[in-house]
Amino acid sequence: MTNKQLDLCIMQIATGNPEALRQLYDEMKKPIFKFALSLVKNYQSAEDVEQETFLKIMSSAANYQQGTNPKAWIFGIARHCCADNLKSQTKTVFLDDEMLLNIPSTDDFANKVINAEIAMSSLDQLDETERTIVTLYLYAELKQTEIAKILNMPYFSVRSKYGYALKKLKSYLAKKGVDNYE
Amino acid sequence: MIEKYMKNALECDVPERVWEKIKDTPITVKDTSVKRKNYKRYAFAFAASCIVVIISVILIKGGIFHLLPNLTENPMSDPTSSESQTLVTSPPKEPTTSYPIKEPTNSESQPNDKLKDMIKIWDYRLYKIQDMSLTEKDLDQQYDKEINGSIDTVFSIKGSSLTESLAVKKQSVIYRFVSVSDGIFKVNNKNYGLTELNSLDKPTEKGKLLRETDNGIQIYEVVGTDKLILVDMTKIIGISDFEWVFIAEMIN
Repeated sequence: MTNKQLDLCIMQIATGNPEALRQLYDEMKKPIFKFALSLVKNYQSAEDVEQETFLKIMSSAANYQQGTNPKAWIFGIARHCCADNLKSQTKTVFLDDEMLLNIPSTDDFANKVINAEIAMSSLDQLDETERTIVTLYLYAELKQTEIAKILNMPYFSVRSKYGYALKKLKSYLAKKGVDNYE
Repeated sequence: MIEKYMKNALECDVPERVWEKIKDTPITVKDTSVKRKNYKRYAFAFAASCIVVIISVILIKGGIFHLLPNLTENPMSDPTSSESQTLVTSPPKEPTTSYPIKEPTNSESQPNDKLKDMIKIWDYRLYKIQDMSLTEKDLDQQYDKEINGSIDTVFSIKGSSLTESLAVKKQSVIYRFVSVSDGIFKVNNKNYGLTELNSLDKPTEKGKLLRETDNGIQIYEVVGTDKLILVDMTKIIGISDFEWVFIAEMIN
């Protein structure tokens, strides 16, 4: 879906159109969930964040200004929901049972679980801004210009922080013995 | 490469339960009071601009030295005076229709431009926007019609007749519209067909209620002419809480 289509979709949600809500849900459920999972690191919490994000979209669509970057608007909401969820978490459980159940079971299931754990812990090596930039770029699939808009930062700062964060991740993964990224 | 690793590492099935939890939650729809506030803000900005224009025109036309005695005669330079009005009013346009018009009284309750894009009238039939899932391959025949000097284009959709649905292209996006009502109404043995939404700026004056159909469509006369009627289709459109009033013209 292009930004214009998302724009129209949100406008239709603002008029109470359930079809438009379903379309937006189908389009955005995966990136929102992945983004949330990478930040809250727990399948159940990510699901809660996804639900909360859609409920907030439904209640704020009426205030959405046409021509605003819709993805930036949606992930701005999702980011706040993640922050609220993290505040309420007393203990982070990496790879909860739900997550293990939902990792596709293939021959290399064990490797997949290990990689998921390493990837999640690697994100902890980043400071909050770097982590947000990396997760928005990799899991929400936003452009760096869109991320700059969400974080209210110059584009070049986003770009340089992203590059610096990748170096940190690479160094951490090397320590964990991950040198083959395939 | 590291990016691919990070992406693949979090590959998992996304839960479907969320939809079940949100689908029945009521959506907060547009609050018309917000619009009204904006309307006031625009009206205020427009009035302020008018005053600036009036003062500028007086200064330019009369010259600063000529203005001084005028100011003595008319110290307030009242923007509502007839002179001021002449300065800012556009030249009168040729009337395009013979029916009377009046100032809007309930413009806040009428659909704005965004919402107007959600309906379509074609061949006197009313359509409502459905989705944006069509591609070029789904389109069949192109139909063009000249309306008020511009070409209106729609496409039929493969496997569906124009009376059921049609497609409209805007830039690269293709919108599917589905028919919600036949737009031909018989009043006093004359047929009228829907042509356009009643204007927000200069609405056609609504006369008395002529009849109401079983599905809640209300038909009103237009004051001063029997060539037009007004059709209130609010009950069958159901987009937002606006009044959806259309003009229908006599077609035979």
